[in-house]
Amino acid sequence: MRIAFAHSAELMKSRLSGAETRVADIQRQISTGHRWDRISEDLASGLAVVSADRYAQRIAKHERILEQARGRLGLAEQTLADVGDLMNSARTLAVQGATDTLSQTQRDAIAEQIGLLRDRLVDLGNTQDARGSYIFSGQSLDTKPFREDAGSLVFDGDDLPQRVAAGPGRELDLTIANADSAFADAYAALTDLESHLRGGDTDLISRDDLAAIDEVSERFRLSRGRVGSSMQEAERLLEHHQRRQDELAAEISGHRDVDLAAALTDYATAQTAYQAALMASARGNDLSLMNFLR
Amino acid sequence: MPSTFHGLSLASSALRTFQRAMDVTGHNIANAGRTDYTRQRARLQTAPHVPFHQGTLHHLGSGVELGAIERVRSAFLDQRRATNLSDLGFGSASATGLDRIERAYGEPSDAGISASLGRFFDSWAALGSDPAGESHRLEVQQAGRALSLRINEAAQALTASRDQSLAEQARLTDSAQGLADGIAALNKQIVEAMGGGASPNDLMDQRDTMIAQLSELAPLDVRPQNDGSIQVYIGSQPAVDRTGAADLSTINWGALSGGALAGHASAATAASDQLQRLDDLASALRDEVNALHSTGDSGEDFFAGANALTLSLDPDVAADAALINAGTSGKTGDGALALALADLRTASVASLGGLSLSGHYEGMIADAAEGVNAAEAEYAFDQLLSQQIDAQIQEVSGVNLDEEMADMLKWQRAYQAAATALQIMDETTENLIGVLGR
Repeated sequence: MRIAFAHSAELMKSRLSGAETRVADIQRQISTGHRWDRISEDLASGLAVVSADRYAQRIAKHERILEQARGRLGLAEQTLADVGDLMNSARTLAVQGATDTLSQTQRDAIAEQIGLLRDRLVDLGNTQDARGSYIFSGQSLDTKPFREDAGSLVFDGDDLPQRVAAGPGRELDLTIANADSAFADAYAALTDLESHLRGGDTDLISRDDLAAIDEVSERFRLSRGRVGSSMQEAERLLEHHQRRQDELAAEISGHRDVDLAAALTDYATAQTAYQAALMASARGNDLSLMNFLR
Repeated sequence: MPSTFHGLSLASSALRTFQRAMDVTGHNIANAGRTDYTRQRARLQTAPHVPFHQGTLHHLGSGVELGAIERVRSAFLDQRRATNLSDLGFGSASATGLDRIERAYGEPSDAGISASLGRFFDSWAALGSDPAGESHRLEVQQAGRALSLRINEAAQALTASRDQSLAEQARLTDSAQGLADGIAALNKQIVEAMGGGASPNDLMDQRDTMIAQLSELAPLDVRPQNDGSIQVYIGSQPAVDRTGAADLSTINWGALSGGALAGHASAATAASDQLQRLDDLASALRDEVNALHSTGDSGEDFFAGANALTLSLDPDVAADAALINAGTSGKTGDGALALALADLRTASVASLGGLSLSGHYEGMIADAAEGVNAAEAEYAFDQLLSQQIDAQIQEVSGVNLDEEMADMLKWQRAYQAAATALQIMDETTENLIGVLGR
C-alpha cells in the first residue's frame, strides 16, 4: 500500500482534530453537567425532558394554587368551628334559661347574651379573608353575604360553585354548600330563643328552641366536615404533587445529567489518547530515505 | 547507415532523457505537499532504430527518448470522489440550515416556546382558581405577552434562516458559474496543448480541482472526450462542453439530489415549512383563546395579529389587565372562563389536525431535531466515506517521498552511466580524428 506524503499529513491533522474534539466534548459535559445541549443530540431524551419540564412547571403551579386554597379552606373551617362553639354556648344558655327556678331578671340577662351571640353569628357569616373577599358569599366575593332586615337574616350572596385547578385535569370544589340557609336558620333560632327568654316561655325553650339549635348545629357540623374533607383532599393532592415533582426531577436528571464519575474517567482516557496521538504524530514522520542519503 | 557520431548522439540523448526524468521526479517532490496534485511519471521508450547493411540488414538502436509524461490517476476513483463530494456538499449545507432551524426554538429551555406556553396556561389556571386576585390578571397579561414575543422571535429566526439559505444559494450559484467558466477555459487550453502533441498534466490537475469544487456545489456527470476536453452535466443539463460554459442561473437546484446548492434549497424549504407550522400554531392559539375570552365580561379579544411574526396581545388587554376575563357572569368569584382557557392546553384543535397546541408544537421541534439528527448522521457517514476515497486516490496519485527519492537515485545513476558512456564515445572519436589527422 502506497502512503502519499501529503495525505499522511492530512490524516495526522484529522486524527489530532478528532482526539482534541473528543476532549473538548467531555470538558463541556463536565462543566455544564449535561450530556447534551440540544434535542438533536439525543432525540428521545430531549423530547422527554421538554415534556417533563413542562409538566413539572404545571404541577408547581397547581401546588401554589392548592396552598392558597388550603388557606381559604382553613379560614372557612375555623369560622365554622367558631360558629359551632357559638351555637354550643347558645345551647348552654338555653338550657339555663329553661330552668323554672330562674327569675325573669336572670332570663333577661341570658336573653341579652343570646342577642350578643346573634350579632357575633352575623359577623362570622360576613367573615373576610386577607384580601377582603367574603368567604360565604359564593362567587359574589365583594358582596357582604348577610344583613339583618326586619328581624331576619337576609342572604345577598349566591350559591354558585367555587372551584380551583388542583391538578392536571383535576378541580377541587371549595363551595360551602347551604351556608346561607344554615346561618339564616341559626339567626332565627337565636332570635326565637331571645324572644322566649324575654317572655319567660320555658316550655317553648325546652321543646322548640333547643331542638332548633341542635338541628342547625348539626348542619354546621356537616358543613365543617365537608370543608375538612376538602382540606384533606387538598393535602393529599399536595403530597401527590410533591412525589410527582421528585419523580420528574429524577426523570429529567436521568435523561439529561452526566454521570460525573464516568465523565471524569472518560476525560482522563480522552486526554491520554490525545497525548498519544500527538506523540505518534511528532515521531511518525521522522523516518525517510532522505535520512540515509549521503 | 549510422553516422560516425552515432554513439555520441546516443549518449547525449540518454543524458537529455534522464535529465527530463529527473525533472519529472523533482516536480513530483516539489508538489509532494499538495493533496490535489497528481504524481507524474516519465515513460521512457526506445528511440527509433537506424537500419544499416553490413553483410545483412541490421537495426541499430538509437538510445532512449521520453515517450510521455503521464499522470497517474484513476477515472473510477475520480467519479466516486465527485459523487461523495456532492453528497458532502449537500449534507453540510442542509445540516447547517437545519441546525439554524433547531436553534430558532432553543429547546429545551426555560425561555423557549414550550415553557412559555406552559406558563401561559398555568397563569389562566391560577386566575380561574382565584379570580379576585389582581396579581393573577397581571400574571396572565405578562405570560401572554412573553408567549407572543417568543413566537415572534422564533418566526423571525426561521425567516432569517430561510433567507440566509437562499442568499447562500445565490452566492454559490455565482461560484458555480465561475467554476464552470474556469473549466471551460481550461478545456480550451488542454485541447490546444494536446493538439500540439503535449501532455498538459498540470492544466488537467487544475481542471480536476475545479471539477471537485463544482462537485461540492452540484452533482456532476463528467464525460471525458478524446480531444482532452470534458463535458460536464448537472442533472440532465449540460454545464460545460468544448464550446464553453452554460448559464447555470436557470437550473432548479431544489430538484437535484446532491450538492451544496440543493442542500441550501432543501434547508430553505425546511425553514419555510417550519414557519408555516409556527403560523398555524399562532393562528390556532389566537383563535381558540379569543373564541373563549371574548365571551367574558369585557367582551375583548385576548390576542391580535395575523401570524407568528405579528402575534401580540390585543392592544386594550395589553394596556389594561383589568380587561382580562376570568368569568362570564360579572361576579368577582367567577373563574369558570379562566379555568376553561387553562384547559385549552390539552384540548384538541381542529385547525391543527386534532392535535393540542402543545402537541402541535412538540411535533414541530421533534421534526426539527430529527432533521438535524438525520442530516448530521448522514454527513458523518459521508465524511467517513470521503476519508476512504481520499486514501484510495492518494494511494494511486499521491507522491511518496521515499519512492521519488529512489527514482531520483535511479535517474542519477543512469545519468552518470550515460555521462561515462559519452566520455568514452568522445575519447574514441578523438582517437579516430587523431589517427586521420596525421
